[in-house]
Amino acid sequence: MSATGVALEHGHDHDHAHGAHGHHELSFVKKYVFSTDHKMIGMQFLFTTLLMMMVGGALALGVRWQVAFPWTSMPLFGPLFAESGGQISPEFYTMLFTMHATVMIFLVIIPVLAGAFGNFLIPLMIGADDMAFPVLNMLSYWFMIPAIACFGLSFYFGGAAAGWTAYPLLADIRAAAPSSGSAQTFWLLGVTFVGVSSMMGSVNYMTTIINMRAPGMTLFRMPLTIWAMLITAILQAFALPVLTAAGFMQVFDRLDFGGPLEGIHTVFFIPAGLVVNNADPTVGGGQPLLWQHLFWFYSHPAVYIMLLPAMGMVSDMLACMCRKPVFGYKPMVFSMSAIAGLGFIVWGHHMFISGMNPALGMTFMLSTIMIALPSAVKVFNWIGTIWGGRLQFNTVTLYCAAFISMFIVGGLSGIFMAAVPVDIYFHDTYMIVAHFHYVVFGTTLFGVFAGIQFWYPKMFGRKMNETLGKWHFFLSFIGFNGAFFPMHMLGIAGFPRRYADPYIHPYLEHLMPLNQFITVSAIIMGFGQFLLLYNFGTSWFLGEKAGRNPWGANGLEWSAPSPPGHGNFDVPPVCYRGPYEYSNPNNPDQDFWMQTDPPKSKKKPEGDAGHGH
Amino acid sequence: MSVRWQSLIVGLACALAGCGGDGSQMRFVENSTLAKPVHRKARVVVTKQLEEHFGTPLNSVAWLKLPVKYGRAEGKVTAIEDQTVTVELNAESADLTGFDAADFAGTELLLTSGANQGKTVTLVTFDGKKKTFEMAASDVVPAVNDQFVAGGNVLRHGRKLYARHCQHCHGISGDGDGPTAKYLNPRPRDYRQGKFKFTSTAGPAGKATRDDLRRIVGQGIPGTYMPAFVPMLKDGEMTAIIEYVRWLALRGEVEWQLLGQFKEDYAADRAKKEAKEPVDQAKSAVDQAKLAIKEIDETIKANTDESKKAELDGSKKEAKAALAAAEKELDKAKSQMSAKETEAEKQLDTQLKEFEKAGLAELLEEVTGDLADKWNAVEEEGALIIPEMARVPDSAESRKNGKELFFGKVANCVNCHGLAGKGNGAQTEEVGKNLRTGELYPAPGLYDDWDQPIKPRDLTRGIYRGGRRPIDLYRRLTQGIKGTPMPGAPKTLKPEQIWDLVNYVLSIPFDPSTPKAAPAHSVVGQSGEKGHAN
Amino acid sequence: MRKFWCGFFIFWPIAAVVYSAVSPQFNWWFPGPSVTELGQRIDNLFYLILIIVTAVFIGTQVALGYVLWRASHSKAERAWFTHGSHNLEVIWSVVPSVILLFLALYQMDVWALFRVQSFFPKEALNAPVAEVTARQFEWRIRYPGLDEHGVPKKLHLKPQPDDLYTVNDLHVPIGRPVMINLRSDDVQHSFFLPHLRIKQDAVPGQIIPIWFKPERQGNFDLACAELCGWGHYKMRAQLIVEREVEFQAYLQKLRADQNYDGHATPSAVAKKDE
Repeated sequence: MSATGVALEHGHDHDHAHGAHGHHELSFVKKYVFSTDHKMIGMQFLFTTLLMMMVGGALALGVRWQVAFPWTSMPLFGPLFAESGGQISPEFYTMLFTMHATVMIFLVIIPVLAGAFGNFLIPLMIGADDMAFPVLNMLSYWFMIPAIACFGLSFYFGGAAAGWTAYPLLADIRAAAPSSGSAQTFWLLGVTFVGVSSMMGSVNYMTTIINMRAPGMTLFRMPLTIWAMLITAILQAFALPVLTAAGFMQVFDRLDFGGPLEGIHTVFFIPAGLVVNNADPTVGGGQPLLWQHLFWFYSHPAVYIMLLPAMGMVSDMLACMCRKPVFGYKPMVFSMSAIAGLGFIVWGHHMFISGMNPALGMTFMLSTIMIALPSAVKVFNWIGTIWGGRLQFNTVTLYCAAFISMFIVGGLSGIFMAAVPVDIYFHDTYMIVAHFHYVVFGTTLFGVFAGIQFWYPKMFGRKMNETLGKWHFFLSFIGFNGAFFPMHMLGIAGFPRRYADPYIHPYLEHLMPLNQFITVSAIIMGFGQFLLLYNFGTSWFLGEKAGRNPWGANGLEWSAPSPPGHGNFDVPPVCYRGPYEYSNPNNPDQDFWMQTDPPKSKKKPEGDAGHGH
Repeated sequence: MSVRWQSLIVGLACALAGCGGDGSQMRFVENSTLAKPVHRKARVVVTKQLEEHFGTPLNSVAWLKLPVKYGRAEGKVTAIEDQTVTVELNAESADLTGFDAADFAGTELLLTSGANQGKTVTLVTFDGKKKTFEMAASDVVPAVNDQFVAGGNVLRHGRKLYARHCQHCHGISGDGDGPTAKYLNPRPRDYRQGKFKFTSTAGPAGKATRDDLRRIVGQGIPGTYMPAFVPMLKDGEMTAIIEYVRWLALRGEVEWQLLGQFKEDYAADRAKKEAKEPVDQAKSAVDQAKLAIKEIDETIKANTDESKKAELDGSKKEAKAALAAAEKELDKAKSQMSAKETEAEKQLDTQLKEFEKAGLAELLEEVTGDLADKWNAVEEEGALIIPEMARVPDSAESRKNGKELFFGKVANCVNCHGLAGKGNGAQTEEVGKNLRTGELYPAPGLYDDWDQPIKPRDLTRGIYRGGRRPIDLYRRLTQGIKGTPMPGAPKTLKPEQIWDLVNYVLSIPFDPSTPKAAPAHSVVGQSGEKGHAN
Repeated sequence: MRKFWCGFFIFWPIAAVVYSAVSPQFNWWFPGPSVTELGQRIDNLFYLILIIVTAVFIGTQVALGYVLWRASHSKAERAWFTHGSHNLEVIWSVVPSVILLFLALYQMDVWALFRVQSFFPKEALNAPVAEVTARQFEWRIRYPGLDEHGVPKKLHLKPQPDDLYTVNDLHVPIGRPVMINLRSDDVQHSFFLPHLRIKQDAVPGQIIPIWFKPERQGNFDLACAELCGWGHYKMRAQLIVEREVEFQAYLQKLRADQNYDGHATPSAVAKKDE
């Protein structure tokens, strides 16, 4: 069947679909609430995560306020504690940072990448009309709601306060922490719901990417975003069951059923004979380190789940903005695979000083330091991509460049803590806080901001405001670096994490002014996010109208209408070449060459991406 | 306000450097369990008194009648230059060098001689070393050689430290009910009864000496959430916190005593009760009348003698008339009840007002005087418990004697601490009686004076809350633990017997015959997590 | 505008480097030189990594700034069409991997010395000085009792009747390796001596030995570095490094205090009995 034939045939179908449109108009609920359309689900994820980002940010500012101005009245939370002069209690502080991390990781970063962008982009970029399992996809969003509800209930019961890592025995023994009423149990259930949601997405993405690619979309013609999503899905599929199992183990450790169910009160993580808070001595011979192993076996790969999709997206956006193919497409794919593979054998670097076997520390150090290699290769390739390009400084470019710049910092600071002897000192200090915020905020979230700006026209048919976008970038960048760069210095000064009032320690007393500077920067950054929300909201109605392909990009999604209708493509796309044929000399008409554009001649000069020229 | 003048109130203003924020709503919490049965108006009177003599958390009053060292300084002015006044402090004045200048900001300095006698100047800063202060602009300008008295800096310093380190457990009022308190077992001390558990003196009602408090704050209470504040608090800070805690305890006890007095005279339900009295009387009259009729009816029934019938009918008529009258009386009483209540309320009000004018000052004087005596008594020389003899050497024989006492009828430690000393004696299974309310406790076990369930110490764990020195245990044994069911040893026990008991108690953790669940700690060997269990 | 943004991306790494360079002057740096030699070796490793990392940081940021400048000022009609360079990929894979591998292997012996028991100094391993038990929220310290000559006995894993106890106040002698047995009473804690660059989690159910050889007298901070509940920050204690004589005198004093019965020290009692 010739390509033209296909186009014609489906073009007819498309007309028919239009004609029949009135007949199966979906009800409001089906269209906007319990939608099975991947685009609607993606946007539901996006709205939810943006909202949660503001919640998590408010919690973070609460944390920052206490660290900079301990025991004084907080601007946002202060009125809750009016009777004690606005002074919060230390367990409230532990709750604040626990819930900040929880909200940001489980309700923002993971779902915004896999949930929002994964859902929206995967079918569009591979030329499918929807996900392989639309109902499963819908459920994956709707499982986020009980997760949010569980975290909300956790708040209601005082908030989980054992850190997002929920280390036993603090999290395990009910008497050990104030949070350990029902709060910690609901927290664990919330994490489990997020896990179920992620798992549904993961299965769906793998199936969709493997089975539903458009004709001609070979694996090595897939955009790097799709590669990243595929690798992320595989990571999730393998790592998540471990966390879910560990979560249930902790739930069973915590639940104290009476009567016939008494035997369910397990002791997976509880050693015998401990007296906590004058409760009865514990029984059983559990091992608290087991939780750390299980938790980090998921949560270290989870760091890459929080990073890889953003890396893929930035590669795509950067190529488009530079009008130049991605430098080293296949090395990019291989390094992402290497990161994912190595990501499974580095979890122990969170546990160097936990008391595990010191020999394990050495092997984990080796694997951890070596994981810097694929990351370095990616950085070099991004710089190579910009090299010789024709660049416009719009918001997308700015965020992508900042993404690379911040990733360099986050990656390099990681080397300090990968080196075990140095980590003895840096473990659980602000060095760690600086490092992972550079990775998760500076890198991932900046990539997400770029992605929102870049794919907004595809979502809503209009472009976002550039001026506002640049201001948002400026405030975020300045605020972010002002907040997190000095944290490296706090780390070097040995400033421990999670201290409600660090200044009772003489060697930390002089660091209060630096912390106040950090807090001011964080407030600038935090309030800068309202610009994004404002821009996001108003551009929906006021933004400049965008056609199908406002950026002159190559991907399949840009051949669909903006926003794409039900079923995405009006002409089922056929892929003829790799995704990054920008400025290809064989296409003299324009400096981009869409994957759907039929070849110019019978000769086939344009290769797949990745064939070095 | 004679009380005010006699007791020399030194006011402290509120701007708190470093604690900033909106403190306007910060307040001492009323002792709710005590206040509940007291009439609303009487409660207002108590609150007013407390505010006058103690102030609010951020605007505290150093009431010199209380045995608290506020950091009082006396002296005379030696030079004045603009707003800077140089002073000379009396030898007996507290050493002021150790405190923040900020602790003096807003303190009032009272002039006790010269033209401005009785007037106050507000300090802006105070330099303890140079003995100079700057004062806020005011009409009052002290002259050279004016005598003055100032102070309150210790209290102020103490409050700041208390807010930072103690308040989230012990509460703003020292009621042991801060936000963190509900998660702790045992609960943090409620200072308001003025009872402290681990004291070193034979003094009255669990009053602690400054050294006792210093020891507890410094070393913490092992086995509880009271942490050791050494080395966190420096010496001056410790002093300030201890004085603040004493002040809070005194404040709480004054409240306690006043409310206790008012509970009898001005009960919350007094007016209602008074108003209800005639109704109750009338009701009982009605009941009696009804009973009388019933009796007559029965007599009539049983009566066979015709001659008496007329007489009985007559008495029944009379009884019916009496019932009608009583019912009428009852209706009347009922209709008058609300009016009576209002009247009773009015009466209570006037009585209270009169008392406020006449008796209150006296009562307060009495209460505080009594408290001051008690707190001072423990500080006196000789109050400290020093055993009459040195410790009996810790020999097998001494332990054996101690063990016999432990299980014996006189000391009867076994009753609570159990056969193995694990704190599970027979008494812990009994349902006890609350001696203050006379009610039975809801669950079996022992309770302390704060109505919290309390367990006898598990002596096998080697954790001694009041300290592990022999002298600490001796004092626990002779004086008991205040506010708890742990009694002092009977007077019949001789010092050497107590030492025998001490020796036995200290040996319990190492007694091979006592069964215990030793923590299964494993040593981390070279091979890592799987060390050998010890 | 493109000049501004290029400058922006060049400016921030410069600001970061300058800021880092001046930080030690403002005391935003290590809390003084390390008190142990092992800590100094850790510091040296830190500085080694810092030098490499700074070089890479400057190199990559300059490269990024340069390509941004070139790309945004490009006068070419079209971008350079290339899919990459195999040789470059090989170079920038091999060079970093050699550096990284070197870094990893170079760290091993310090780690082994700190943590692997067969590398511990024998004298420390055989005679632990004290047992430190972390609990919510303080450090309880247990020294072995003293024999009749006033010499510390062997520290047993289980408490002994004549053990000496103190809280939040760890005294150790200077100049010889000392070993501490670390335990936890309730939840996880972490024994953190910032001035000695030492950190080790205290895990419930385990006794973990730590050794160090303090080389400077003084009073150093001991903090908790693993979230252990609401009072995590409150776990402040002090490590006092003192001369051997002072240390022994301290133990004597501790014994006298602990055996105080209101009259005299037990040694005096014992003498009286003789």
